[in-house]
Amino acid sequence: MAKPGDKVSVTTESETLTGILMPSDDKSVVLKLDSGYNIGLNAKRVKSMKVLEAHKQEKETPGEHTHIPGLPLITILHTGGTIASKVDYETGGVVARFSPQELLAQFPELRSIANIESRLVRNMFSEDMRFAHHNILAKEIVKEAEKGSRGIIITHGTDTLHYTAAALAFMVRPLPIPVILVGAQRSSDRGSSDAALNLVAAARFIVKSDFAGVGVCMHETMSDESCVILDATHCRKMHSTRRDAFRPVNVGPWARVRGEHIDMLRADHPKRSLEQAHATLLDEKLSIGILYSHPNMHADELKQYDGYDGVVVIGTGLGHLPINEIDETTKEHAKILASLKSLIKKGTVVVTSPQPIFGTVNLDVYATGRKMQEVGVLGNGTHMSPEVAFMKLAWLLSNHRSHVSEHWDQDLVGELRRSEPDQHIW
Amino acid sequence: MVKTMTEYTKLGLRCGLEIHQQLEGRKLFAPTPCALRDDAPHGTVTRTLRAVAGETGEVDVAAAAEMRKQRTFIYEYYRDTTSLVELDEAPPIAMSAEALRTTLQFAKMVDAKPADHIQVMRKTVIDGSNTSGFQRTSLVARNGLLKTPHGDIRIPSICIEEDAARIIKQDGSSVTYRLDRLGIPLIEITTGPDLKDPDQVTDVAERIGMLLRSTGNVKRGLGTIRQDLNVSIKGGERIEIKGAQDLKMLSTLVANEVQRQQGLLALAQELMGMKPLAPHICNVTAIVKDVQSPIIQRVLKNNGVVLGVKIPHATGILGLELQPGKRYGSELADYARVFAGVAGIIHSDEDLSKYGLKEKTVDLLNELKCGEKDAFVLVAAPQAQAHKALEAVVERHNLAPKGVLKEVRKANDDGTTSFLRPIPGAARMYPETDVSPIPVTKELWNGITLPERIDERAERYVRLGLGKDLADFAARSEAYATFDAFVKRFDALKPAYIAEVFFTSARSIKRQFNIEIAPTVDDFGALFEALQTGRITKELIIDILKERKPVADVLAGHIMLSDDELASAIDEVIKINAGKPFNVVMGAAMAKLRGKASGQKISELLKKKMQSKA
Repeated sequence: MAKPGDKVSVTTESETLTGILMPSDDKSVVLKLDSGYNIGLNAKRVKSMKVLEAHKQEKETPGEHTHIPGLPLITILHTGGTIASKVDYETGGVVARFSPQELLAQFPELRSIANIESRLVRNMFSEDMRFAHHNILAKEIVKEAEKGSRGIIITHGTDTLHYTAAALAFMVRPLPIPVILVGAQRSSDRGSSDAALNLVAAARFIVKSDFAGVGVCMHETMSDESCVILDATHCRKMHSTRRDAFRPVNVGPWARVRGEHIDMLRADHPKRSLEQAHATLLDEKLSIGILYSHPNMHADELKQYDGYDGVVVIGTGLGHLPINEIDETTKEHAKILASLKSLIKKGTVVVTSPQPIFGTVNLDVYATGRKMQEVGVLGNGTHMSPEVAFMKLAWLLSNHRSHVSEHWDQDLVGELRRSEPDQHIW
Repeated sequence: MVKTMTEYTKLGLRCGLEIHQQLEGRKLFAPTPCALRDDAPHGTVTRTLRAVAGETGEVDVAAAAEMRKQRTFIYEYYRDTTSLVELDEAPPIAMSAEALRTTLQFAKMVDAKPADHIQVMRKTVIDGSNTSGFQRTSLVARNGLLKTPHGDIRIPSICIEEDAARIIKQDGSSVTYRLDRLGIPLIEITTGPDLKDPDQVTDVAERIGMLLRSTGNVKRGLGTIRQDLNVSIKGGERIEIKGAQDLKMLSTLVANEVQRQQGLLALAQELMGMKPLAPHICNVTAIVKDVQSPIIQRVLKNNGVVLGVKIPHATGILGLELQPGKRYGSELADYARVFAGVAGIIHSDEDLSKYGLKEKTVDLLNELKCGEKDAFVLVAAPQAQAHKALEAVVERHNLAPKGVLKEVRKANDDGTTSFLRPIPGAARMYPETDVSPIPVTKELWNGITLPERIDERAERYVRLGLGKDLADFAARSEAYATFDAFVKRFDALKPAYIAEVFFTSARSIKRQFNIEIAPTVDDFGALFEALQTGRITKELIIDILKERKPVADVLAGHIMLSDDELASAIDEVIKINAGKPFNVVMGAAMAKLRGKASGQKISELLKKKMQSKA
């Protein structure tokens, strides 16, 4: 039975082809020809396949890995968002690489910055992350801080990187060392991958600055010139594909890293200390929904969340839901208000956050907001992006269930820090 | 020296062609148009590319060193014609169906077999010409055959791939590329090494070019088709010659390359047993510092030096002509240029008075310890560069006993070639996982119609009555379909006449009257319609077009006379010109009535009237 990697000879009704068998499905047989090109043959046309030479699995010698005395230690925890990979031209597969030797081979600049330890926590798409994974990460951070790591880099898929950053900021307090999340918008098998600059900049930042806390390190622009260290509770992925997708929200980045240069951009960054790291975890059984307000809404949309522990409303404008009955066609809105009231009365904590993402929630200005407050919706006066609000609610419900309303407008970890008035939205 | 086919066969000439042709439409994997721009770009991004880890997982030492040099790439973009795909800021979109169809069309025209599923690959390229660090390329069809009167030429592969960004400038450690060309679809057609003599190469290239143009979907103009050649003779090596743009030059390039390879093989014989030279590089600046040579003086003024090295037993060899106007010394100079970046070398087989060095020859020979049969090579450049250059020269000379070296060479405008780089190893390709495999279904393949070939179209036009030259011109024209439509619609007019008016009026009016006209298809349509219905006569065509107004408007102001009106108008003319000879009256009649009736009719009627009066 031929396996991918074997040299095979394939016979169809019209010819015999030799090549290396590639991973194929039941519809087509894929061969790599001598030219290096892959070609797909209709499986139905294949009359016979003979193995000419079985694939010899090369034993990988992991190679030397010694620490250089005098250099600080950085721990890299991999959860996905492959920042380092190897292409096997024979089988055409791209394989993720995690070991310190492999990372140092792919990013030799690290050799002069820090000693590297690395561990594979997961290799998952970040859209599949759950509170359980956030908990694993929080515990790993505490473990590494105790070991004396100078700082931690977490590699993460970019889809929900900002959720995890916020979660870790709420969960790990005190945090006496920097924990920097790094991702890659372009796959790391390609020479143009943004992974390299993001990783090296994060390492330089950890080694050269006195910053402690959770940060996100990604490209500042579409050029490979500088990275920004973004505040974990003030950033968001704002473009589906660009290298500079991660943008600051309401408050600017902590720092800029350009080459070997670190510019601290804010005067008030949290600093390293000798405190012991501590994690308060998320309740993995929590059910928290997100409700996106929109025109033509139906009360049924709220009924989905009956029995939920919490709901984050992404409200239009200042945080609004369509709850005003103004004419014949808006009778539904009265029902929405009623459902909202009932949801909250039955114990679901409902908070509102701004659909524009930037700016403050203010439920005092219009009747809509005042009615929402009357039925118990939280959030007035806060300015958190919906994702940060989601994570804060998760953490509070996990650890201060009966006091969420008291804690909601308390600044726990800088998420309610005063906004910069002139921030560029993009 | 022109060789015969037999001589080339005896030499064991094997030659293959690789043709890259740009296609029209959108970019292969991006939604943007294929538009080359020469206006100022709207913006740039700056990037670095990293060497990708190889099979063993290690980045090799040379690549790591290269990375430490960190070349910067600047990419120019245009807001309206560049997308995030070219900027490597978004994944590719599905392959252009139009480009694929054109490629399948060509495949069908040469009887090639399409892949059942086309797999797009990534081919690693880190010279900066692809923003992602790879080129997307795919094998579409295999095992085609081009039938020619000289024999069958195999076409083992037909691929479709992205063109690269084009270099705008290079300074120091940064290279600027423009993204307009990146992603333009290229058909890549590779022949087997079946071409047996230089003229056959041109013929086959022309045939393939004609087939491509017959699809009606290829880009036209300079630079839209590139030809690479593979040339080898018995005992030699396969040389790749890149970038021959002029079809007419192909046979010259092949002939010159054969000559060069023959020369190198003869040289190898002569140098057989030569021990590899260890370079003894001497500083001869003191000897040459006062010579009258702008090149040398400029280098010395900028704190450069002149270094020299002895090449033993090489007198007469450095000056050996390998290609017309190019000597073995040129091969050494190419190495110095490519590996050290110097502008050139000076060697003792040259006329040293060119550099004011004639008088210094003896001193140089002494300093470099050269005997009668020994030659020397000098380089004027900054110290480190000059040293590297002479090391490269010695390296190349040490390889001379091998004969022909496997190289990639550049086609020069004069039909010679220059060393570009060593032949690369196997292309590093792996699947492009952002694009799903493309099935070539029975429906897709059967739905590919063969276009009318341009040569067949020309024959068709000859059968319609066009002269050969006009038929060729019309067949190759992008407006041939319009011409075909005119012929069909205006069946009272001879096709040859329609062709003459449609294809040559603008040119003849420019030549005769120095007026530029730009009639539209509607203009010609109105013209032919009026001719067909007899509303106007042929004599009027030039006048109407010269007016440079829409033909329909010109015709509206134009009246044809009925027979009665014509008769009375002619009576008028006869009355005014009473007594004058026929020619004079005829002239007056034409002046008044030109275009309002056919010249023949006017002439006949006038004759009749004047005769009856007489």
